[in-house]
Amino acid sequence: MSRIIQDRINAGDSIDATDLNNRYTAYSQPGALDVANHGAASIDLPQVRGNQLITIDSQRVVLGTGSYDHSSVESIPSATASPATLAEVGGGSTRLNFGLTGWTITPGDILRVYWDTSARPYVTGRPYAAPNLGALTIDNGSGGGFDLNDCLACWVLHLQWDITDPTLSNFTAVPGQSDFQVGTPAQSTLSSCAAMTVVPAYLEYSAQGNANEGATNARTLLDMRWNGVSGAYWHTPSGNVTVYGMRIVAHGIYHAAHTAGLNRLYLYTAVGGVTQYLELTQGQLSAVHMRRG
Amino acid sequence: MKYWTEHQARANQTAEADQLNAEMRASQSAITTLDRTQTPSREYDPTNVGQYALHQVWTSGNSSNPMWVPGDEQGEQTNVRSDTANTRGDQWMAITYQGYNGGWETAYTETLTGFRGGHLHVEWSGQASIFPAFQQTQNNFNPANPKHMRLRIQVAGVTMVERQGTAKSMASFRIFGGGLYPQGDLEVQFQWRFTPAGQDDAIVDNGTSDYLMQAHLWGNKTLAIARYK
Repeated sequence: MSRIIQDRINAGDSIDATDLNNRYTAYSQPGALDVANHGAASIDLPQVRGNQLITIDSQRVVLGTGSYDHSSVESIPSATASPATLAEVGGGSTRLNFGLTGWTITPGDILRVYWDTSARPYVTGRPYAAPNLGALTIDNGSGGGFDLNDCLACWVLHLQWDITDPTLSNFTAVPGQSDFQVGTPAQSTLSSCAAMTVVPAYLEYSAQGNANEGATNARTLLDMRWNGVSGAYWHTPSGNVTVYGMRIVAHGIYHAAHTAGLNRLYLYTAVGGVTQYLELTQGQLSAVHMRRG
Repeated sequence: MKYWTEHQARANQTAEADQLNAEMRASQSAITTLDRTQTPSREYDPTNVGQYALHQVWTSGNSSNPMWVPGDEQGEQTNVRSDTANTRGDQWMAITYQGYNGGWETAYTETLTGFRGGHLHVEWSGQASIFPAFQQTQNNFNPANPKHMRLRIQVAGVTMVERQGTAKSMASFRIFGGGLYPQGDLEVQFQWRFTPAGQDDAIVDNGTSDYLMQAHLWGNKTLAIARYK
């Protein structure tokens, strides 16, 4: 506090060394300046520039093929065995690399990560008809039923980080996110899906709605097109964490499941194989390291 | 920095009270009302700026998981859903037309404790799943009933941003908005509204009588950033 509270000097007051020294001492007190010393708008960009008051680090990288041209794509086959192989989007050349020292995230910071890409799932011939995950029996209006799939199946693109060393050879899922490498079949509860994007694996419609009208029971497998997909993740650690790099991995196909009272995603190998695949082109992976306040 | 602007005391000068007062007032002014020309560049850094002086961040979840609501169902919409007994093993315990007839529902509420007034940016990210097969309704005799998981963010009961929502069986979304808001512990509500059942929707499995899942929200997490200057 540096507000000066000495009284004014009045006519007739003694002016001697002690009196003057006391007053000048009051003017030169070493206390730090505080809000009482600052006029309106006394702080502006020059005073805070470059001091990492809000953003500490940021980085972005092109994610994927490096081209939006759909004639040049990255193709990821669906898994035929459990667990699925995690395929790095961009093949290892389009990951975030925070250098030898990495980014140290403290409990007072937040790490914000965003990604996007262009994706096209490819499934033909209703391979999901057996063993019937999601195969619903819909009233056909004449005492019977017809099979229509709920299509709760998806590809997963999820975020990994390397917090071991700058060699970037120890990627693991970020906190709150599963790598889908455990269980039979490989699976995750929905409570461990904090840093991922889903792409619908296939989609079929009842061409004519007919839950109980006994219509044609027509069923149409939609020819899936390219779509932009995106994801986001933010994290504040409980203790300091040094992050050396981040990447996106893609894998699938998974289907909804409900066991032991919890909602889950199950790897669905029945729709696996090179004829069922996910195509990706280009997007962006970016990260911002900032203070929480 | 200001300089002393009053006269300098000289030897054998007559001392008058206001002579000293004027000098001291000038000095006091220089110290007590710093303006931007007197404050050195790059003077302020995290060591001398008070917490939340310039901005403030709120997130859902905790350090081990950024998603909302702790426990086995974190990140999921749980306020409207079926029960385990009526849930198929290959679907999710989620929104069914037996339990939901339309209208906005609040999936999560975040209180921005200590918001000091200023610009507010809010993000909501997650996955939305819907059962879109029956959109045409009763052999096209009725208007189509496109299924959407509509989303909106409300701040203090007023809509900040609203989105038509996802329309595919499995999709990821990110909805965000911003605006100027007054000081206070603002309440932010993250709400959804799913398309009600159409004229001829399938609501049960004809073989098992299980309720059919119509929609679900999962992997949800929220972020709010206030900028005070």
